[in-house]
Amino acid sequence: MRVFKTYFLILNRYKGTVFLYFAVFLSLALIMAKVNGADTEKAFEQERLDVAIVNEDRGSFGEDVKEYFGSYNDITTMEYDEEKIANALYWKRLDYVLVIPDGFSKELENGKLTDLSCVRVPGYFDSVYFESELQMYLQKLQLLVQNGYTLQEAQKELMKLQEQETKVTLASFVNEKQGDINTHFFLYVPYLFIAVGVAGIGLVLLRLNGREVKERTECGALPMRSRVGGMVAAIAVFGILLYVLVLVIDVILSKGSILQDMRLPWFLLNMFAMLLFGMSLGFFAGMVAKNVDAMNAIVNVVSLVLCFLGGIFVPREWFAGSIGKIAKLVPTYWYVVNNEEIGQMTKATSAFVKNMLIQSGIVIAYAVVFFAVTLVIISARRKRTA
Amino acid sequence: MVVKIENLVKRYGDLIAVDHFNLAIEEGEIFGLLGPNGSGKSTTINCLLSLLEYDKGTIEIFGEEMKPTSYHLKKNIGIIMQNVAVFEELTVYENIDYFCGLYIKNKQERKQLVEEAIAFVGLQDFRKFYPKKLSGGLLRRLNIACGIAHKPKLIILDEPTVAVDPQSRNKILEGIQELNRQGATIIYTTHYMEEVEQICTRIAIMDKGKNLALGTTDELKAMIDLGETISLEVLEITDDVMDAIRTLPHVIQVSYEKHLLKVKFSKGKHNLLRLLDLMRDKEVAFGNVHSELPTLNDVFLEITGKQLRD
Repeated sequence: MRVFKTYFLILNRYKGTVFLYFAVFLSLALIMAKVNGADTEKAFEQERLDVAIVNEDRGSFGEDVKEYFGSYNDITTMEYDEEKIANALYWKRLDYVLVIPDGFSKELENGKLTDLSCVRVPGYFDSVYFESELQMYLQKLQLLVQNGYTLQEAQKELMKLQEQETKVTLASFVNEKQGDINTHFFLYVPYLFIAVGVAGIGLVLLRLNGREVKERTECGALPMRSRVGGMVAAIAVFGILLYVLVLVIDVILSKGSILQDMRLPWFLLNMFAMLLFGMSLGFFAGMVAKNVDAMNAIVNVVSLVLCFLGGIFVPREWFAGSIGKIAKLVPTYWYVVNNEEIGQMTKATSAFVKNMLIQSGIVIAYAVVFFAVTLVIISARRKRTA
Repeated sequence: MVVKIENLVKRYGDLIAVDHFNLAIEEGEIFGLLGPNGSGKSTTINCLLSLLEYDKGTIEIFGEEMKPTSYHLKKNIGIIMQNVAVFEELTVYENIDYFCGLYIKNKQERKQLVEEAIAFVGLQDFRKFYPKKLSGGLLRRLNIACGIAHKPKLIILDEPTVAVDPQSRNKILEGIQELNRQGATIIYTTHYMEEVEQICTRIAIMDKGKNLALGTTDELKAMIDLGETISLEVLEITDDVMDAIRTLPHVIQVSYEKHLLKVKFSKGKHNLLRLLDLMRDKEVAFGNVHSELPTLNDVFLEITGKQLRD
């Protein structure tokens, strides 16, 4: 109980650091779960541009353009004033200014297409896109007029086409299930387990294993078995608390739906493997770090590198070639792969179960390796000091 | 016998840190282990506490062989190391409670012992302070409190006064004597001979891992030829006078540096009178005159040929 109690007393002094990492995790997870976990259809929205029309024409074309493009752009009319236009474009109040010359409608009614002038910011992609849309609209209008439609009829036909909504399916790495809030929330858990695991375990072990304190403790009458037992128990309780906390947050976030979700046991398994890895990393860092500053550096570098490479902060599909191959060497990669597969899962097929066990096994193997390496370091140090 | 060390040998590769070291400490002693830095004092203490494995020899504490797993023996040992060994993250009270808890399981008993230790080292006003907020002297006192809270029968202090201000040093030394009066046997290692002379009942002089001399302060001083050192402030002195001084009875060594004439005599009577008579006869003017009895440093110098603080 001595070491157990002291572990949490020391941890209490580092609660600020631990809370900071926890807050980063929670902010990331909540924001990303909300953003990415939203309905994928809503996730696509056409870009709206601010377009102004300088209508010097006396025909209907200006109104037609306004009607046609107004459904997905903000269109206003203005007088031609070079300075005003330049200012509006410079300060991004406008993206595009279309100038319709006098007699344009009449020319168009005769099937002729005269050039329209425009003012836009050079190289601005969205305005180029708008111009291309405008050209397409004009060509369609001209085609219809040339085929016997009046300008008003042609406009009506194009408006009908316009109303037919194009269904946009985003080319995504995930399917519907994967887009749910649980999958996105659990995606960020490695950051918490690595950062808080290393900070919460490493910082305390750093103190408990400080040379002077350790010597004094070894001179004490408390058997080593009790000391190690107390430390292991404290680390285990810390890990369990972290694990339960994550689960509670997800239960709140999913409004309890995760508890009825058939994927829950697999999420739990995946998280458990990552928790073991985070704890073993904390154990390792607690033994190799020389001081608190070094420990904080380890926490930041390791957690960020592993989360980036593993595909937590950026989609792992972004990593191609050699970086992609390197990414496979980090345990977070396999956690993310598992998380995606769990997200897609509708039935626990034997192939799924096999994949889960192998991939979780890889993460646990990393944990075992770090744990074993740390034990070797401890043993080597004992021999050196003996 | 509280501590018995026989033929202790500890090697670090080719370096022999402790070389066939023997020691026996009786109950109730304040035993001083005196030696320069690197003489093997701390290594001996670490072997004694089973913090280090040793190559040869036997160590017994309270009549039993000391092993790393001798927890029943460790229960009666208190240790105050050279470096302050406390948790920066725990308060004064929590630190003492933690280390006391390594020996005392009963919470109530421990609480009382912790309070007594705090009172003993005079940290009542600092019980909720974190170590970083304590001055060097207070920190040393906390270090001591952590080592003695469980009321051990044997207390080992390894250079506890290094880098401590004179006031705190006196407080620490008085505390050690008080602990001894309360029944604890003390082993005190230091390279400050004044401290050893002040508090120790018996002293072992160590160098290069060997026990060079053992005894009380007087016994150690009796082991050397030096009886006294007389110093005179002299503005100028000729070689003839220096030679005449060397012919005086019991003179061991004569030196003159920075207007200070130092004459070392072996044990004998009337050394000062004879020297002053000679100075008057040779018409040498002199100022202040000092006579010093041999110190442990002189003992050390004569035994090893070097200063204690080399």
